[in-house]
Amino acid sequence: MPLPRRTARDGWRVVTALAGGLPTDVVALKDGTVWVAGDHPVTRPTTPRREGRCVAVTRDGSIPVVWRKKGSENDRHWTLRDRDAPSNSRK
Amino acid sequence: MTASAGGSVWVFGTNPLPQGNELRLARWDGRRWHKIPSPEPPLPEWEDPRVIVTDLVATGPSDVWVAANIEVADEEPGYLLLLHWNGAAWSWQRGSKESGSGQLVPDGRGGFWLTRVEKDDLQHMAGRRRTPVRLPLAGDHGVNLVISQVPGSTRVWGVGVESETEYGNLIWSSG
Repeated sequence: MPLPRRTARDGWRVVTALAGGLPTDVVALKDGTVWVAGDHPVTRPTTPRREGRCVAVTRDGSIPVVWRKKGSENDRHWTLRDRDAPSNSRK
Repeated sequence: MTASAGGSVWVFGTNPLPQGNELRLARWDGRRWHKIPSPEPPLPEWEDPRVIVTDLVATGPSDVWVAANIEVADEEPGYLLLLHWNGAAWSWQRGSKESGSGQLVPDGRGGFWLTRVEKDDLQHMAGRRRTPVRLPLAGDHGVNLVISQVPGSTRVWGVGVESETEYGNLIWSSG
């Protein structure tokens, strides 16, 4: 479902939705990377309007799943890093 | 634990004693620890409260805010206790019953954001004024939100469990 694009008066806006899964934590880094952890195997960002490409992945049995959003305005997509991947240790 | 401009690191904790909760703040200046006088906010002693620190944030070289949850008689989520150390003295605000307490995250402009307080999606503190924030597409009863600031910026990201609306769990951004 496309997300209505709304921005609150204080500047908060919806970036994307998570299709399934429960987000449990978020960490934003100085280089613009954002890590999102969820505790459900099918947690994934859906693709909202004007937010670039999102990668949809389903996975079973591996929790937590961690989504990484790259910081560049020109490279705004999400990739999945599971808990066994070495890059997960960056979070 | 939090860090402030000037290289200080602040830690805060509570020590539940038989005669009451002892609240402690200390500052590390890079070489040694400095003990800060303990605050003595009024607590509902007749209800045998437990003070649980949920977060702290430094908004200036000597400005530190501490959020705690005062749990009384097994009630959830308890009262918010918001403490402020200005470098010389403590002051505090106490929330209403079941106001709760969550994260304190800098806004990059000298204020900070509070999560899981008083059934609001979010609150913003500027000066000594707290303002409720309504997140777009959130339901009516507050989002179970976690947030993170991009260090050194005014940008903050949040993720939340939203079961009341058709949009499910959402990711927000500000700044």
